[in-house]
Amino acid sequence: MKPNLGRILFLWIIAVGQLWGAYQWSVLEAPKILAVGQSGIVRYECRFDSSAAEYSIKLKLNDTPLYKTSILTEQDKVVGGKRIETFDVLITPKTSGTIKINTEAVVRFTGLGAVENTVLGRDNLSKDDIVEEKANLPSITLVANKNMMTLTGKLTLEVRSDTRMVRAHEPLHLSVIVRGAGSLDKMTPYKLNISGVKVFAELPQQSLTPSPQGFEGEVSQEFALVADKSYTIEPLSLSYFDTAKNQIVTLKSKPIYVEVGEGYALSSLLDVPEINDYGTLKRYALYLFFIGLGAGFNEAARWLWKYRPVRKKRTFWESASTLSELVRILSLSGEKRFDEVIRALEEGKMDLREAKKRLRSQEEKQ
Amino acid sequence: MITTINAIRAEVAKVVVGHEKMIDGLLIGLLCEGHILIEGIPGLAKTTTVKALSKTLGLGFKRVQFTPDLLPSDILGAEVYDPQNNGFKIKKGPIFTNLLLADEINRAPAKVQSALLEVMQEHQVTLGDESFKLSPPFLVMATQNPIENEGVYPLPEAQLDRFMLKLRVGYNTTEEELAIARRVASSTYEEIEAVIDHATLEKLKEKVRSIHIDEEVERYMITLVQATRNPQEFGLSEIKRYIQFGASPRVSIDLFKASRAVAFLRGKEFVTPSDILSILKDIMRHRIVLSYEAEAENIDVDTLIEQIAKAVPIP
Repeated sequence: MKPNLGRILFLWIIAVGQLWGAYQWSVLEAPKILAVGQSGIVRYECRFDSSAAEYSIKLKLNDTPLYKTSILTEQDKVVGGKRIETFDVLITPKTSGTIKINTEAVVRFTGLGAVENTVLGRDNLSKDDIVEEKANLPSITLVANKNMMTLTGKLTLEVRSDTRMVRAHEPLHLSVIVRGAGSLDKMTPYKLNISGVKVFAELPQQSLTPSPQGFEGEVSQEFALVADKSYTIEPLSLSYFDTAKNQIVTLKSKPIYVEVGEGYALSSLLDVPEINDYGTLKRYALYLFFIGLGAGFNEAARWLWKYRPVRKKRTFWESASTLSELVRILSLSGEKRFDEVIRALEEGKMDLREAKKRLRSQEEKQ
Repeated sequence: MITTINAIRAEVAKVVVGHEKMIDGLLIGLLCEGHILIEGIPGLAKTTTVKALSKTLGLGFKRVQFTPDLLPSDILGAEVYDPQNNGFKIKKGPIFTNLLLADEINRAPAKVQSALLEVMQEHQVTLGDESFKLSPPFLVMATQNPIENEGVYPLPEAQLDRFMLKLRVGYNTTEEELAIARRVASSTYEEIEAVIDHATLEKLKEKVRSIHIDEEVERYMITLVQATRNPQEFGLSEIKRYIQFGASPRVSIDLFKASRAVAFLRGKEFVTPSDILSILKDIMRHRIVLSYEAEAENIDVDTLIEQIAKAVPIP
């Protein structure tokens, strides 16, 4: 068969037609009216002609000045050998008016070559093996009503204190809990300002899960209030746009009167000292004493060493016990300095004791 | 007479600080006509002392530095051809002097040592057909360095025996060394003058020979020498194995001579045992031949002499 332009064009149209004809997008559910800040669910469905295992879909979410989309759930199932993929997309209008929402998706077809390469562990996977195409989902139009409130949904407010009577300077714990479903993520922390009361506030703790209204769960905030006089916690209010009633609702808590009694005496707040426990000063004094004792011992040891009795060096002639022995020892040394003593000993002019005394004095002089 | 000796000492002391024992040893050698071997490390004024002594005595002095390539003719002299007379004439060597300093005698080979030692014994040199008597006094003072072992030729025992004394020179005391350093640093040397002449020296020798030795003391000397040969007879069996050969008869002769000189230097008319003992080590230490065991056990000959002296009763 000769290749010609008409034949190639025909085959291309067939191929593209096959690709385009493989799936179809539709909108199953979409809100018509929403308030600004209120979230609504749009349910998109992609229905394939086959089980379509080679396809994957990724939605492109938008965050425009008019609205914001975020994905809530994604379901994938095969019914009667045909794949159906459902996306629940949360749409939150940012401004009032008619808003046209266009959502795109990227459909990726993984070719046989890519699968083969992956299975075999080849690293020469080229882009040609994967075909991506942009799919424009059916557009929807909704009307966003005006809403001045940041919070929307269906909410409740709970304010509770652990007690109503405290002693002076004893803290009272106050919990503010906002529960429900809606735009709870946008909730701003409460600020308490009570005259004569020191307020210690924690940051709000969020325990939220995504829901068709936005988020569901609770936001709680803890306070510790310390005062020396009785005081009243004024009612706390929570205003939000009730999406069910389509109106602004303001919730108010009841005022809480806190009776502050006489405080504890300072002495009664301190720990009772143990009998055997040394005070800091006593302890340091003890340390100083031991250091001083050590230094004293050291100095004493040095003194004793310095003035220790030193045995005088025994000279070689000290061992002589007789005159002749001393003469012999001195003579054998051959040293001239002993000549005088030797002569005196030989002439009998000096006894042994005297000779040794003389020799010692000679040694000392040297 | 003793004043003359003191005058000699005083002159030598002008250049030599300390070392009285070495000076006395040299004087003993001079008075007894005995040769001296001085052992000591370099720099202990051995040569200076000998030179000073020769000047003091007004005697001729020559110094020969012994080296391995020294020949006997370098010391004794030789017959040399005289072209003017068309014959040979005698060229006398440095041996023809009164005091010869043989420096580092153990550095020269045996033939040179032998040539020198022959002259020491005979006081006569034969060059060619002619014999020359050395004019007295003739005294050889040899030095040797005990710290070097390589490149040295130790003197054989027979040759060592010809030295009357072997003096060991030690370091000076602290005060003496301080005086030496000051003197050398300031270069204040005094001129040495001759205080005696040859005739006076002969008179001194005559005086020494006249010093009396009692028979008991004479026997004491002989007993000391015999004790080196048979120490076991004096209760020194334990040192017998350390001595290969005891002192020779020359030791007895030299002991007789030297003890007289010691007594003379001490200003005495007779010899006492202390005179003998004071010179005993210097006379004996190079003449007792130690055994291999003594060498192996590092036994010092002086210690053995001390033990012998202790074992022999003093009269």
